[in-house]
Amino acid sequence: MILYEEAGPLEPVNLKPTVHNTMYLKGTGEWQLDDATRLWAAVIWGELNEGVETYHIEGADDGDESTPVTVVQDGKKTDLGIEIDAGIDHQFGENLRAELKLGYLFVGSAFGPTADDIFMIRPQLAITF
Amino acid sequence: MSRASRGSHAIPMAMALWLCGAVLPRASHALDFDATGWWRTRYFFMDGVPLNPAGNDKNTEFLDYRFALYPTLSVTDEIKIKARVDILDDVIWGNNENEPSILTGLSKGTSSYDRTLAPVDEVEINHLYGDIRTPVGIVRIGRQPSSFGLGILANGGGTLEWGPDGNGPETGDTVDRLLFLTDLGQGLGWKDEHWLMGVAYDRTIELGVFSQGDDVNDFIFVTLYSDGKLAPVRVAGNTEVGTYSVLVTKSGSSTTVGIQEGYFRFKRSVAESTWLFVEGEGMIAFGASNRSGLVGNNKRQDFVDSVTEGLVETLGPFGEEIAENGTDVGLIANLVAQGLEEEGLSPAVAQTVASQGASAGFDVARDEPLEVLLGGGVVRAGVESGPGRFTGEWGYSSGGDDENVLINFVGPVDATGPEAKEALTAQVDDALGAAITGTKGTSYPSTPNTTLP
Repeated sequence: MILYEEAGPLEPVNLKPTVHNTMYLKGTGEWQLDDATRLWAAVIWGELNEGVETYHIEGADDGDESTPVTVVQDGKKTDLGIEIDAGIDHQFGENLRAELKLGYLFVGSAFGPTADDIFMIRPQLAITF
Repeated sequence: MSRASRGSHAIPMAMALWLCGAVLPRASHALDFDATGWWRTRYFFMDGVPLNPAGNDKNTEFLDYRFALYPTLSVTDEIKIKARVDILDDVIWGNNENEPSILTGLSKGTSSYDRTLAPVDEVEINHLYGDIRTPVGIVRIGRQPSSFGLGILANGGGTLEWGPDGNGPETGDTVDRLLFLTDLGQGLGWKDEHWLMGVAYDRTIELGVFSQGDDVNDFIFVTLYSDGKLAPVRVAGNTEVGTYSVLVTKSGSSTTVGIQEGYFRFKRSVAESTWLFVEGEGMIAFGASNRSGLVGNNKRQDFVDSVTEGLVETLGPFGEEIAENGTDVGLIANLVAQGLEEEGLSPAVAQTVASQGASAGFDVARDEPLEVLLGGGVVRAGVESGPGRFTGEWGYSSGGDDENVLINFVGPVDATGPEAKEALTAQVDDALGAAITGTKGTSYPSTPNTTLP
């Protein structure tokens, strides 16, 4: 879910990540290795309820000034793709915790015809009291 | 939709705190000060992000901070003042101001901006409220978190998130509220079960104290049955059923929106150390709203106004007409994008910014109420056995059949050089030419309080 949040439709008020206008299915498996360490993995499939107009630009970068620059409409797309996440977190004593999250999104057509897959690494360290 | 409480089972905090307090022995003391909180730092590396403002370079990496402090001042056992103070709230590392030199970085290698390069107050008091415990319930007054169930509609946020629950609700939903909560279960003599019931009033918009027509008020009724052991913030009973109802009204207008939400959770033991559980939440909003009636958020209003002003400047009288009458969100986004491109932004960034502006409510007619139909829900089911936990989840979030998508995903649009940019603008002009006379749109802003995990 971390990539849908980061790369998906943004919450419009404060422009921070969120998930909306979306239907999704998510499967999660968690395994407690010991009292302090947890492994987990998740698979998410998502689709927009209302498609987005996608398009691409042709002729802008081919170096030939005679080539017309055109906006090519690719139509409304709804497929957000499939995301695979995995992570591990560990509690160091009572007040210190760390985790490592990894995510890979096989982007769907809603990201446009030329979008690459998205990969994310997100470690976190926290002190609680 | 905004973010949900991934995996948490939050209820209005006051319910839990009051119930905890109700069963604890009361010691007499005055002005006791206590605080909890957390500090975190995160590193992000993302490759292939389509919304990366860096344009062609689709890799990005950055670090951020956040320190959340929850102080409590106990005036008496029955009267407490509580707050949440966020310090460097998701502020990214380094000096992020406009093109600082290396020497600037040596002397002042910090600033206070978030990942969107929006300035952040170094210290923010996001919650400040008083709790007054009475023999029949608790009264909570002030700026406070709003949470219920799984957090689709109301999520107070402010919690650390770990594991597969996503990145967390961040700041969460905060309201200026007068709240009364009680436990009818105690009145009925229940020992291990609770029937929580509460009413609340929120003032969500107050643009000017001498203008009554802009006031937006929320009236809330909440009830929850739980057999769980109540604790601050979290309730996780084996059986829980609750509802959360909101009536939104705006003074001097036809805005009336009803929001109804339901939540349930059932967890049963099927073998030694093995549990099955299912939980879910669904919400629907319906009614009619004028432009700013549904969502009380001054940031939204400010942003809409700024985009409106920009459109008028860009398009002159035609822009003003659009601003007054509303039109299709996609059209406006593209029109604003043109103006932003002329200001020097790359097409991808211009399109993104414009889409966000349009989605902030710009597309909604100013003077006419708009039919509202929003909905969303999530259902989880799974098994807990020994050290393992496996969950399947289905989520749905929609603003109705005619909701426009709030962001146009824009691929790596490259229009380098003035000739290409000019040509692109011309193409967009041509593409939009027929649509400029298009019909009034039927889209509306998605409420930030509707969240899916």
